[in-house]
Amino acid sequence: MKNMIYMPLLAFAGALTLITGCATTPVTREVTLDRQPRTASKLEAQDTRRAVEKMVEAMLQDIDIDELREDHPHLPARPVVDFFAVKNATSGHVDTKSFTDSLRVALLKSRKFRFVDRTRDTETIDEMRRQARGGLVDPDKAIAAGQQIAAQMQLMGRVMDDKTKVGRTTDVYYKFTLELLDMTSGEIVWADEHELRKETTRPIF
Amino acid sequence: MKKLLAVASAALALAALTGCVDTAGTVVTTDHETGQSIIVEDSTRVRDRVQLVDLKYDEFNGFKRAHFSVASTKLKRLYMDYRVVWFDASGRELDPQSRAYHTVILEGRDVTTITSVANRPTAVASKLRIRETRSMQ
Repeated sequence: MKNMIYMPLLAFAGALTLITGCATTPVTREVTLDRQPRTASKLEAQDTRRAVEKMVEAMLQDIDIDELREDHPHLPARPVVDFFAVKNATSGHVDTKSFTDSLRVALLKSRKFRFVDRTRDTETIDEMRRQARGGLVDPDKAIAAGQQIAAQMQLMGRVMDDKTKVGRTTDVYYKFTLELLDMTSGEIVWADEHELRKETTRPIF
Repeated sequence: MKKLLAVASAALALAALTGCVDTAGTVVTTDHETGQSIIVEDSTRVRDRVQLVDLKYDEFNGFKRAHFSVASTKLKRLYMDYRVVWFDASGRELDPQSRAYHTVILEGRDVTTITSVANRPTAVASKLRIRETRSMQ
């Protein structure tokens, strides 16, 4: 009968062990890329991953290159796009370089567009100079200047936020915008937005 | 006192167990070449909440597209997660890392259409997976 008294205590201790775990050293494990948002005040990795996927899908669905070429006959079958880094118009830090890279990678895989990256021009010119004057490269095989492909279109993006705080609740609205511009006519041929709203409520204690 | 302890330990054990969330859900696999679709409902909880009512697929601009219409069977608002992945003709999953789970908010008894576009011309089959939002952890 006395043992019966200790049974709930034993169960309690067992449950406590389950909750706290037995390890004394920190445990690191790989987790899914799609974790539930932890805070509304910050744009998290899964938010940008979702935005990239949705914006690429919208671009591939909306832009019919053949139809576009009817109005803009100077465009080739696979237009060359110069993608400017997505601008951060939020009040916090957003890794827009990573966001831009992910968008470009996804669009490149679609094989609908070709891309140039003008941010690397300085390094390219340095390398061409080395090849031409360094004496290490066969002069016949050195890359000559004036052969690069010209961009026909520009892709620009922006991310903005709007934050409101009422009591313990923080509500944040994010908007991603992408625009594709035909450099010859100056016309914006496509634009799309992806919206996201997150809310966090702080616990009382 | 003994009763109180038993109740407390049972509650604690239950709290510890609820941490192990069920990540199973409904999976819809469609072969866009043959038109064959397979629906697997692994979770009775998800099946009782959300049902696939229509499935259409087409091709636009050289890319395969799938439209899944899902209906809520509940009166309350539901938060579900979905992810659509694409496969090539050899059955290889295309960009498994870049396909993210998205949240779909279903109003009571509402029907919504989930559309996915393959971002590669080589995609021939799609797989939709729906699960409960709480299983994201």
